[in-house]
Amino acid sequence: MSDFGRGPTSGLTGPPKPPPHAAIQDGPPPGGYPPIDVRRNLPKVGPSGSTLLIGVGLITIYGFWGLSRSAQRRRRLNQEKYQIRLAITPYLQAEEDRHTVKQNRRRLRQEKELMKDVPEYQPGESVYKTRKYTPYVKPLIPGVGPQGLP
Amino acid sequence: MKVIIEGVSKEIVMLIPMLIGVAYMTLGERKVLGGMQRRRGPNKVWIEGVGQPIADGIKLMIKEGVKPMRAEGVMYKAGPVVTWMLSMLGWSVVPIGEGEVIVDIEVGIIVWMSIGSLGVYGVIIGGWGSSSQYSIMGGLRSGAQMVSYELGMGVMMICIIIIGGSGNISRIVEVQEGVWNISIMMPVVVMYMGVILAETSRTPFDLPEAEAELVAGYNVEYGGMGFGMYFLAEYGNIILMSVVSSVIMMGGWNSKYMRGELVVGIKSTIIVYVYIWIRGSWCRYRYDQLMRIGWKGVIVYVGGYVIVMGSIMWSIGGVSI
Repeated sequence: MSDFGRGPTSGLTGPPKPPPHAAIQDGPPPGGYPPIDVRRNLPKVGPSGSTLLIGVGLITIYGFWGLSRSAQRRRRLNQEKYQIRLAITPYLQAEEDRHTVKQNRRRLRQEKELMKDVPEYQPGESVYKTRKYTPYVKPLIPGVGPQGLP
Repeated sequence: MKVIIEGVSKEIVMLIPMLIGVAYMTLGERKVLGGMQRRRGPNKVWIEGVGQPIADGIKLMIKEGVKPMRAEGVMYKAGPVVTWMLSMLGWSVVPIGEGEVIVDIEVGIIVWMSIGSLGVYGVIIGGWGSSSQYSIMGGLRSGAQMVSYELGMGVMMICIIIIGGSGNISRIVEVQEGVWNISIMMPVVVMYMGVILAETSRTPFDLPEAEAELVAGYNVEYGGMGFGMYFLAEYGNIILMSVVSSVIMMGGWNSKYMRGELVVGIKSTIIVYVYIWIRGSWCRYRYDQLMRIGWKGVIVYVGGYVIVMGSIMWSIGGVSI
């Protein structure tokens, strides 16, 4: 009974029969199919690219601005430290000179005491033949050369 | 003698909290990942799984160490030890607070990077010493990955050194008193995150741990405490990398309201959380993608940024002394 309902004895009318010579084919609807939407429908999450770019740029500019400010501050502090050192240099130099004079006197006294048995010895006379005098000056300001003040 | 006692006590004070931190980072990671996947994570041992890391540690310690028959004895044993030692050694130059550092040297950041580079040896030795084709290929893979991303890391560190005007990490923090370095490094900060993920072999660059598709990696033949040491070294590196990042990028211990060490701790915890968050969100890169990102992406762009940033720093006169 596989063809139940299809035969002429079923008493029901089937679909209207096509004319005998027309092609039976699945074609596109009149006017063609609508264009297929091939775009990916991803949800938009987060800020857009241009917003991110501008934001990153602004943060970077802020960073460099802050860094330059702190660098300027640091430079001013260093300058102040340097100037303080420069201001007290005469006092440090005076102490150094006083110390040198005392040291020289003590050295002379000890030399006389030590060489008192040698009659031709002149205490305090330089052992070098050169006439040039070079005082020893400690570098009071670090980084300004071995001669201290220019 | 006094110097030795002082050094050893400093090391102990630094390392024991770090080891506890490593243990509890594993628990934290499993809990956070569980939360992201709507489950509870470890919750059976003691109260809500607080004893889980200790139980895991004891389990690893009492497990029998099985050495593969063909493995090279010394190399096989040396691999995990070298990795773990270098991971611990990295802490020697990293300050965690003002003056709280084992050795405060002028080239601290360079020494830290060199110790990190030596970490490749542990991986290669372990992979080769196991005498297994899978482990040696895993070792080569991980070694190539680490070496590639060292370069990106090095270029980032050049940026940091230019900004700080010094390689001393304490000095770099001092310079960040006004603004954090992260704001200056903002154009490359995503790449920085990628580089530190790849350096520590974490997702999305965790090819050494790709068990299903790549038969894990260099540590495939290890069990028991050998594996435990690799594990400790890996998590130790993650914590070290987070601390270093918080110190050199996020302002370190500069704060008016809290103790410096606490500030560094909070910032490092945030970075560790980002590590876990990325692991919970992203999938793995393929190996060719990883190499392409490293060589054609990070190094090129960050190298360009060094030029831009160096010019701007030159024009503002640098941060002298």
